Amino acid sequence: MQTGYRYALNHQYDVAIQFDGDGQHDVSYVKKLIEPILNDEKDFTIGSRFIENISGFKTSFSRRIGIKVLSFFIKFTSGFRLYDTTSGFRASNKAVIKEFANDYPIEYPEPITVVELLKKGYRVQELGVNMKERLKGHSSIHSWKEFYYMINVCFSILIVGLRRYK
Amino acid sequence: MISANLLIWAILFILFLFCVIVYLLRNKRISMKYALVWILAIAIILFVLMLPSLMYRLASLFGFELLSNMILCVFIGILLFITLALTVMVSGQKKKITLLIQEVSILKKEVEDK
Repeated sequence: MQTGYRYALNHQYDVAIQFDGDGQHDVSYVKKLIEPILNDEKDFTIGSRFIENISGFKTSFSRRIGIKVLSFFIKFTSGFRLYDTTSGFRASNKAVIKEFANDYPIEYPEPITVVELLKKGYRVQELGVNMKERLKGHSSIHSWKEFYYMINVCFSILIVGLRRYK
Repeated sequence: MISANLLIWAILFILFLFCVIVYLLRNKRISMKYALVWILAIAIILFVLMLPSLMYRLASLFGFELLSNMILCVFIGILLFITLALTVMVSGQKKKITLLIQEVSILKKEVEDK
């Protein structure tokens, strides 16, 4: 993932879009995501399934609980209420591209990077988008690994909360 | 009997170890994946230390005459396990790095030949 951001930095891109390749995301929402960035209102935008609930996206009960817990931890450490904590549909401006090119977590980067950006004072916004069911492939988060994932991410968020930036 | 004094020192030491791990994580010196192994070990040791009666029963169950012997054995066991896990990781990394060097060398050769 970081490779993409490094590439964007090397080619001096103004905006980078992160987009899942499994058919879950809808290209038509890219415009909505990059608009606040082009207007220089936000530094980083996240496509969310849970805002405006356009698609009526259904997720499993355990997944919903997991997302609620992560949402709570993010609110606790950064004061920002994020609804779709694991969304991989995101857009970043030049400054954020630089951050990600320099340092990007290897494991489960989505929730952790958002907290890092918030702690560093970047302007983040979550925007409602439509998401489809996966055409193929599984989420990298499932079954017995779910517990490990939750522990890892919750601890990581708390550690980011302990860091002092600026 | 294990003295309360020794128990308190052991708990303090474990808490200190925990602080060191949090410090390393905070400075991005270690990643969460590997820190979790240590955190798990610390959690187990703390749990056992908090329940001395359980320790005595375990010690007699496994045939240790002295509780301190069992504690030492458990510590050595955990350290052996972590060292072994690290050896596995180093071996894996060595393999990956070798593959990477070969891959880059081939690419370099192909680019130079063009």
